[in-house]
Amino acid sequence: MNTYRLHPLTLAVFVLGLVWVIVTRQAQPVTPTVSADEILPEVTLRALTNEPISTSTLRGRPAMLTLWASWCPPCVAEMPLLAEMQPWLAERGIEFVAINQGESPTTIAEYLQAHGYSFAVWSDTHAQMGSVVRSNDLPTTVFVDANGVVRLVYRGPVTAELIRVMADVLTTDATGVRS
Amino acid sequence: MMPLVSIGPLRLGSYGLLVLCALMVWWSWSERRLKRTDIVLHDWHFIAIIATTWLAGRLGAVLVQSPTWAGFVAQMIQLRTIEFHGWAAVAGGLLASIAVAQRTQIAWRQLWEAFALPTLAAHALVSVGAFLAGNGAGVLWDGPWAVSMLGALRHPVQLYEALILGVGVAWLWAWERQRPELTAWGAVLLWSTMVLLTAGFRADAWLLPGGIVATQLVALVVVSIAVERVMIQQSRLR
Repeated sequence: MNTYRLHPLTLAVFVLGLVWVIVTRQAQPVTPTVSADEILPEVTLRALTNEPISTSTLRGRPAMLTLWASWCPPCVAEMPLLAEMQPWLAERGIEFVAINQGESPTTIAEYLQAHGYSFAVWSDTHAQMGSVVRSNDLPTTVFVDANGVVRLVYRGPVTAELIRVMADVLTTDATGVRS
Repeated sequence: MMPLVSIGPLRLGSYGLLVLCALMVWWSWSERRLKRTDIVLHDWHFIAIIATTWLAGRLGAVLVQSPTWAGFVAQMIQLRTIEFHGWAAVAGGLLASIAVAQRTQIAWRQLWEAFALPTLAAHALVSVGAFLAGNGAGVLWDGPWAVSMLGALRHPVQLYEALILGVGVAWLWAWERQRPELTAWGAVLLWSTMVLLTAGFRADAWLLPGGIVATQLVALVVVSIAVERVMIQQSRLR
């Protein structure tokens, strides 16, 4: 019976490749992470006044959390829509918070003042929320229902259509009754 | 800051423009390479491959992100976000190319030889776009060439991808004049080597127990197969 012999170079490449895979293995994340349909863990961030503020304060009402930065063009392009939708969300009892990723409170405050935005903004200096919802993209929008369950982690700029659809999802309980 | 170009509901920033640029490079270069072999594909075949790749990439991105069918539909029909799932896009492109090869009775290998280098060049351009837009960022790192992205210093992994693919495509293209038969497996080897070398630095990597990156294991198998195939071809040519 003929046995197939791999070329020595193939074997060498495989062994070297395996060593590389082991050398470049990644440390498991230490921050608690969450996927859709899981409870958003408690993360302590800061208000622009520098007071600590926790995501647990959102429990009991649905929320739309947008992770953004002022240097990120798609985030900046999304901002007018968010400002326009915020009163509409508030009417439906949905809390909207824009969570800045990695910038200083001064930079954030200057940006908000220059553009006249008045919605709630929290500061996440160490970009913890991106790790928690396992998104490395900006903007990312997290839709959380009143029970604190993440219903959607959306990477990229949202549309009015998506906000309306998700508002329905967030304000309708499991039995299909709208709150 | 506004998008660089707006066409109806489609707003293109640096990432979108480089994706568009990559598609044009892929189409025009593939067409030119096909003509050299007397194969003529209809424009609709190119459009079908591009559309399937696009839709598969979007479908992959949305399925990974969306837990609700309501959110799924809204995400799929909107044009403002053009984020793609790389592996889903590759699968879509492959399926569409196989379908075109079968429909036109063109040997799959001939089609791949024409598409291989343009596809990798297009991938390099998309990686540059991803770097400019902050998509597919690298893991946290504070080494000498770390870049500030998403609020932290990180590996510029998208540039590693673009550099490996760019240099590799130039090398394969130059080598093709002497050994055209090596292009098909050489391109597979280049792409899988790029994934093997860079996937460990991606922050969105799919981790197995022990922190092993799953895509690197897949790439390692493909690299080994490609090296073996190239060696077999080399020995036949001698």
